[in-house]
Amino acid sequence: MNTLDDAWNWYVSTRQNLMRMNRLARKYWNDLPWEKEIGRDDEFRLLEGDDVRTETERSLEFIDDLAIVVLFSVFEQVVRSHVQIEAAAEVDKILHPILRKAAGDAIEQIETGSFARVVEPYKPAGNADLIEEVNQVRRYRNWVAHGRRGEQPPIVDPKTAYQRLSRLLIVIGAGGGS
Amino acid sequence: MTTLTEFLREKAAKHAAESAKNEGIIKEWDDALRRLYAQVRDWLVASDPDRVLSVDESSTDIHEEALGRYKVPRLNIKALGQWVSLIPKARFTVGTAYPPQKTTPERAAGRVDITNEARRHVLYRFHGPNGDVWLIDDLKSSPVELNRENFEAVLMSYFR
Repeated sequence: MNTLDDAWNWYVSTRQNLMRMNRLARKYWNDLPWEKEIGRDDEFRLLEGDDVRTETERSLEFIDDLAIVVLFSVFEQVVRSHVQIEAAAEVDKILHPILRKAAGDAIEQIETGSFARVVEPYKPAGNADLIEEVNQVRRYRNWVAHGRRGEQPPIVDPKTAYQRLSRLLIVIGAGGGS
Repeated sequence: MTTLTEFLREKAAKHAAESAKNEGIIKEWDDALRRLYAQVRDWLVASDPDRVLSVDESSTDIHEEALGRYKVPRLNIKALGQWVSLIPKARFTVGTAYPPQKTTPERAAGRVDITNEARRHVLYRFHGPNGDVWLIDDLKSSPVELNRENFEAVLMSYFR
């Protein structure tokens, strides 16, 4: 998964297929032709509908939170790469050694430093609200990724996260999700 | 146009009819399980005169779309620090097998797993002319009719 759209499409198709499988298990499982080939398939022949229902519900329970982690991770990588390439092009124009050193440190911070500080400079250009919305996604991602410890931040659903992250990518010139 | 009162009455009547029908099916399934356990207990009493095995029953929850959530008994056999249980899995199972004297596979009328959670054998129930017929599936070869000899062979494999 290299782009935000890749991550979003993964989430949508995974969730959709889990829901389809869950519905199949709940409503139609016993109506499948078990007397035929499927009843001899070792992957299926011992699977009762309730087993599939339980397993798909267990997967669906966490898929939204997992999607936030995936979406934000991909987004973060895209933003860091984009900003780093843009900044590196500017560094090449600097001649003074002290400024070149400072710029080099800044590039390093873009690659490995706090992500909040990477997007912070875009706030003044009328993007303060959007940056704060993205920070909400980041805080929720961190809470999930660190084992849901401590006080739960406001929940962000995957669609809202995808929309916010996509908007910021456009603002920083990293394209619509790519 | 249907009023809410009519709608609710109709729904309640349908629900009551389905519940009554399901109760009958669950009762019949419960009776079949108790007969199976009684047979197994008889075999064990005959084969274990020194009472090495400890046998008891407990309750297990099953959820089936057609029947809802219900409780049935399971049979627990313990000995020598190990255990194996007969755990009902579903009345309306997807399991199929060739019942005795039949040439086409049929859907079983119930499934019970013999398991210690690490390994599993599956019992399938079929309606026979003289009552239930249980087949035992070792998941490697074709299911065979459950009898004392092959039940004891399976049981020994769990206590080795």
